[in-house]
Amino acid sequence: MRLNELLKRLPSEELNRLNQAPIWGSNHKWQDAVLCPDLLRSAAHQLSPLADRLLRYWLRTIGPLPIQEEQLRARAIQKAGLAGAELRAAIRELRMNGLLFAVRKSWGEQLLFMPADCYLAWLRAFNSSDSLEELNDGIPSGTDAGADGCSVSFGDVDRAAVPTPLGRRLVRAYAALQLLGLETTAKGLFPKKTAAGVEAIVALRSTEAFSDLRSMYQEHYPLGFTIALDAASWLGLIVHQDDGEPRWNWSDDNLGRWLTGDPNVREAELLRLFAIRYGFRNSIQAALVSGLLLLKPDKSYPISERIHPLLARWIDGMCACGWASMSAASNGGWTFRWLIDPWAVANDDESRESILVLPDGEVIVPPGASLADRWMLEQIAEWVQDDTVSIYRLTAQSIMAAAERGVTDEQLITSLQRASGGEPLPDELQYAIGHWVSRTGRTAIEQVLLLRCDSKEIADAAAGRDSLAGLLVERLGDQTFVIRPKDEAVVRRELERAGWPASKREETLQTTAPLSASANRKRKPEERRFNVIGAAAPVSFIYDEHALHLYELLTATQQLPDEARTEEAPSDWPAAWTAQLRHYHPSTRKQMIEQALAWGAPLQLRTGGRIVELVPERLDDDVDSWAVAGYLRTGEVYEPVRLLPDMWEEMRLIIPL
Amino acid sequence: MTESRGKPIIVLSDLTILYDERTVDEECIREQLPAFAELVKQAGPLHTYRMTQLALWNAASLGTTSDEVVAALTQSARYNIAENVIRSIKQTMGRYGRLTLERSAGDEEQLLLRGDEAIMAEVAAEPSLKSLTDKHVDSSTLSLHHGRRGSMKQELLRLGYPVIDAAGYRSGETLSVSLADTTRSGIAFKLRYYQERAVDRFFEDSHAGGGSGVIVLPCGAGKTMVGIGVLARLQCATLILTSNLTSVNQWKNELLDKTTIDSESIGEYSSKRKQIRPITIATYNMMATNGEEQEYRHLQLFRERDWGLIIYDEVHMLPAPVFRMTADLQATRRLGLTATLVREDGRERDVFSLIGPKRYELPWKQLEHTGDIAAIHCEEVRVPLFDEPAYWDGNVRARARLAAENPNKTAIVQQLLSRHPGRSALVIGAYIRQLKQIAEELGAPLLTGEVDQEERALLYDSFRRGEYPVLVVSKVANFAVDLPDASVAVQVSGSFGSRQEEAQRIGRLLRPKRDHSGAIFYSLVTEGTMEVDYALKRQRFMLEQGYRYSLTSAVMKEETDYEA
Repeated sequence: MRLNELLKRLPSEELNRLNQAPIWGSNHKWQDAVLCPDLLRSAAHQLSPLADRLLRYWLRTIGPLPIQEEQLRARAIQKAGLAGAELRAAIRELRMNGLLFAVRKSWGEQLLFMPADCYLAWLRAFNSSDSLEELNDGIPSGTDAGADGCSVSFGDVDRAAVPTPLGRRLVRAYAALQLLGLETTAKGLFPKKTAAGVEAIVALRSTEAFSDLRSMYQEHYPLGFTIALDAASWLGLIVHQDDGEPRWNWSDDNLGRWLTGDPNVREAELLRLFAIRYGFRNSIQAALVSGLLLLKPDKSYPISERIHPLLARWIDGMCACGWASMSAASNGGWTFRWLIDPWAVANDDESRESILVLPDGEVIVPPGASLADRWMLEQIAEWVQDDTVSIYRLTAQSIMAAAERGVTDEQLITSLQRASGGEPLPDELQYAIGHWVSRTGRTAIEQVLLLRCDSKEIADAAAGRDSLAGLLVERLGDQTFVIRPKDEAVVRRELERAGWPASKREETLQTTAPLSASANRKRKPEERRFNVIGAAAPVSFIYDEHALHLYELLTATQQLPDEARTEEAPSDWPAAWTAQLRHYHPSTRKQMIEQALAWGAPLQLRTGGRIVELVPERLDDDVDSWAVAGYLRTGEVYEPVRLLPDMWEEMRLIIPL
Repeated sequence: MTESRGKPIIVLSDLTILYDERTVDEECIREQLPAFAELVKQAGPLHTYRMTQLALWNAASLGTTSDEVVAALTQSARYNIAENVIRSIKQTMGRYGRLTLERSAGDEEQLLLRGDEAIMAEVAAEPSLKSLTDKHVDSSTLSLHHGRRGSMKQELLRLGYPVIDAAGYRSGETLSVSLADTTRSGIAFKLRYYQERAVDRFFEDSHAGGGSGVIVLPCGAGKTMVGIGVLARLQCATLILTSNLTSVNQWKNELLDKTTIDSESIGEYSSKRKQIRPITIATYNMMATNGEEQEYRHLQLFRERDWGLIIYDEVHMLPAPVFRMTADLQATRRLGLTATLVREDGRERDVFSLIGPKRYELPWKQLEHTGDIAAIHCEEVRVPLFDEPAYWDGNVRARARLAAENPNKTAIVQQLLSRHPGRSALVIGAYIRQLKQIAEELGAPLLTGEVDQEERALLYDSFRRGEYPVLVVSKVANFAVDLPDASVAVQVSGSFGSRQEEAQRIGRLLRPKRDHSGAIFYSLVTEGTMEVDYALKRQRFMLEQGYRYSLTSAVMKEETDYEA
C-alpha cells in the first residue's frame, strides 16, 4: 500500500494526531515528512533505542511487505534482537508515529506493514551503497531464481534502440483508449479491438520481469494492455463504478493533474509505481528493486557478466520500459545506467520545453514537453515516430477527425500556439487548418422523431398551441415536425389533450420534405465524464498477493492483541526484581527467567564485572540443572549464549518504557 | 534524459540530425554537418540532415574519423546520443576502405573483390552475394564475372559494405574538347565555384561507387555547366539524354558557346534527326519509343558508339525502359543531373542505385544567399470560386477543372502583373483554353506544345529582348527552358499536387538577374476547392527547401473591379 492510498482511508482524527506527533516537529506535516529522507533521518534520531532497532531490522529484512504480528514475534529475539515486551513497545511507538500501520483481515488475522513509498524514503535516508556490483553480490546465495532461471540476453538489449520511456507511450495509449472508448462487452470485458489498439501502442517488449505477473484477465487481454489498464487504475485515471450499471469512466480531475505535471516527475512516479506493484513480490526482490532505484541517474554502473537472474530480469524490465540501459563494457561485463531520474522532483523554475510546429505540418516534440501537450497532439495530429524527440504531423485527415469531434479551428490554432510557447503558427499551416476544418460538418446524419399531421390545418393548429409550440423543434414542409425523442411522452399527452392523439410510432421513415440545413449540426461525441470524489480502492488488473487495501485499516490507538498486554510489570512481580541489580538464589533466578520468558522481558546481568543485557529465548530445564539460552546484547553486538545459573552474579528484569 | 538547453542539434536513433537555427551554434556544427551528413530538408527553423552510409563514407574517404564525427556531434547535441547511434557511425565508417574491386590480371572477363579476412568472411556469408561470385580465390579474395560488376556493387551497397571500385571505367572514344576561356559573345567564362566543386566530387574515385552519380542543384544554378565540365575533363565521346527537343537545343548551344567543340561533332538524335556523333543528344521519349518491329529499338543507341560518359539530364524523369538499360552499363561513367530528385512514383532509390549515388547537392537557400540564384518571394493568392453550384454539381474531375479554370483568375492575373511594370513575366498554366483566354486579355503571345521549334525560338528571343514583356506558356515551359530575364511568374493552374512541377516552374525565375533584383512567384488558388489541397501538397518541396509562401486573398469587389 502506498501513502496516498493510506491517506484516503485514515480517519481525520488519526491524521491530525499523526501530524502532531513530536518527532515530526511543528513545521512539517506527517504525510510530507514521511516521504522526505532528510526529515526521516532527523526523526529517526528521536526514536527510542528499541524503536530504532526494530526500524532498522524492518528496513533490512521485512521491507515493504506485510507481516503477521506472530511471525514478527517469532523472529524478534533471534533476528531483531528484541525481547517480546521490547518488540511490543517498539511496534507501538512506530505505529503511534505513523511509521508502521496495521490492517485486519476479515477473519481476524492482523498484518503490520510499512507503506511501500515510505520504505523507499527510508532507504534513501540511510542507504550508503552506490554500487550495482554490491547489490548483485548481496543477494543471498540459494535465492530462488525461478524454475526456468533467467534467459535475459543483454546483448540483444544493447544492440536494440532504446525504447521510448513508458510514460510517453502510455499518454498515447490512453489517448487512443479515450477515442476507442471505455465501453465493455456484455461480459464486462474490453473489446478485442480496444485491447489490440492499446497493446500496439504500448509495445512492451516481452520480458521475464513482467511475464511472471499474474494477470486477472490472462485469457482475454495481452500483457501490455493489462499493464496499461492497471497503471491507469492505480494512477486514478480510470475509475470503475457499479451503481447498478457497471462501467468504467475517466476521472477528468486525475487525468488533468497527471497530464499537467512535470513530465520527468510523472515518468519517475510511474517507475516507482511499477517497482512497488510489480517488483515488491518478496522481500529479496523488494530489496533488489529498491537498491536499483537508489542508484544515481546519469551515472554508469559496471557489473560483471555474472548477474543474478533476479536482478537481470528486473534490469531487463526497466530497459524494456525505456527507463534504463544496459550496454556492453569494453573490458567485458555490462554497464547499467538510468535514463531517467527515479526521484525527479518538479522544478518550477524551469519552463517546460515547447513543441516546434514547422510550416510543412511536422511537429517536433522535445522530451521535456508536457504530457498535456502530447495528449493534445494525439487528438489532432498523426503520430510519426518516437525517438529522442517525438514527431507528429498535422494532416488533412487528423485535423478533420478532430473537427468531427467538435474541435474548432480556433481551438486547434490556440492549442498549438500555446504549446509552442506562444510562437504564432506558420501562416501556411493556419490557413490549411482553417481549410480542412471547413471541409467537415457540412453534412450530418441525425436520428430524429417526426410528428406527422395529416393536414396542414392540424399542423398549423399544433404549432399555434402554447403547450406544443416549444416542443416542436423544426417544421419540415407543411405537415411534419421534428421533435426530440425525450419529449415524445409530453408531446403525445398534449396531442391527446388537443384532440389529436398520436398513433403508434412508425418505424420506417418516408418523407417528401427535405431535411433543412439546420440539421447539419456538427455531432459532438457522447461523453461520459465524472469527477470521482472519495473513490474506493483502485481496481487491479494484475494480481496482488498482498492486497492490503482490501482489509480494515486499524488506527494506532486500536491495539493489536499482543499490544493489549499491559506494559506495566505484572503485579505479582516483586518490585526488587525490576528496581536494581541484585543477587538471587538460583531458584529465584530460574523463576525470574521464567517470568521474563512469559512476559517477554529482557534481563540485565552483572557478570565478570561488566553489565550486559540478556534477551532470553528459552529455558533448558534438566532434572538437576537448568540453563537459559538467549542472546547477549551489547551495543550493536548480539551474540547467542547459553548461561548456567552461576555464570552471573546479579540480575534484574527490564521493563521497556 | 540529460538535456543541454540551447545546443543546436538533436541526434535521433535513425541517424537523423535536426539542426535548430534558433539556437546559438558555438561549435559551428552547421558548417561541419555537410561533411558527414546530407541535408534532407529545411522547413522553418529546423534543418533535417541524415547521416547516410554514403555521407559517412564520403567523410571517411576524406580522412575524417568516426571519433571526430562523434565528438563533433556530442559537443553540439542537446540531448544524450544513444549508444547505438555511436556504434552505427563507427561501424559504417569502419567499413570504408576495406573492400576493393579490381580487374583480374590474367583474365579480362574477371574481377576480384578483395578485403581483409575479417570483412571477407562477413561478405562471403551473405546469401545474396553467393550467386554473384564465381569462387573463393583465397581467404581475402573472391572472383566474379565483370558483367556482375553493377549488381555486386549494388548488393554490397545495400548490405552496407562500401567498395572502392578500382576496376576502372571504359575510357570510351577519345574526344578533344575543353572549356572555352570566353564565350562566343566574348564574355569571359569559367565554372562557378560550386559547379567546379560538383565536378570534383563526381571524380572522387577513391569514393565508394566512384565515377558515377547524381548532382542535385537548384533550377537556374547551371547544371548543364556541370555536365559540360565533366565532359571536358573526361575528353570522351558522350551521350546526353534529356527531356525534350528544347533542351536538346539548349545543350547544343551551350556546348558550342562554352567549349572548343565544333558543331560537326554534336549530333541530335530525335524524331527529326538521327545523328550519331561524338557528342549525341537524345530525348527520353525517343529512347522509350517502341518501333514497329522491335521494342525500344532506339535503346541500341547506348551501344552505337564507344561512349565514355552518359549524361542523364533531368534524371528524375528517367522512364522505366531506360532504367533497365542503365543497369547493364556499369562500366560506363554515368552522370545524373536534376534539381528535384522527387518522383511522385517514389523511385528515387532506383536512380541512385542504377545511375549512382548522390555525389553533390547544394541547398537552394545557400545559393540564394551567395547570390548564385535569385532570391525569390512566393505568394499564394486565393481567388473566390466563380460558380459554386456548378462546382458542387460536378464529379471530382469536373471540380478540378472548374477550380483550375476559374474565370475570376483572369482579372487577378492582370492585377498582379500591373504591380510589376517593366518586368518580364511568365503566366504558366495547365489548360490551353484558359491560357488562350488569358493571352487574349493580356495581348500576350501563347506558347504551347503545338508551336514548332523555330517559332518557339523566335518567341524566346523576343521575350529576352523585352519585345514581349509577358509570355503565356503551357506545361512545355516547365523544363529545360532558358529564360534568363523572367522575374515574375503567375501560375494559374498546375498538374494537381505535383511538387516537382511547382519547383520546376519556380526554377524558371531563379537565374540571377542582371539588376540583382529578386523574383516573384504567384500561385493562384481557388478558395474552398480541392485546388487548395493540391496547393498544400505542391508547396511542400519549396517549404522543405526553406522557402515560405505568403498568403493573400483576392477580393472580388464589383464585376469589373478586382483587387488582390
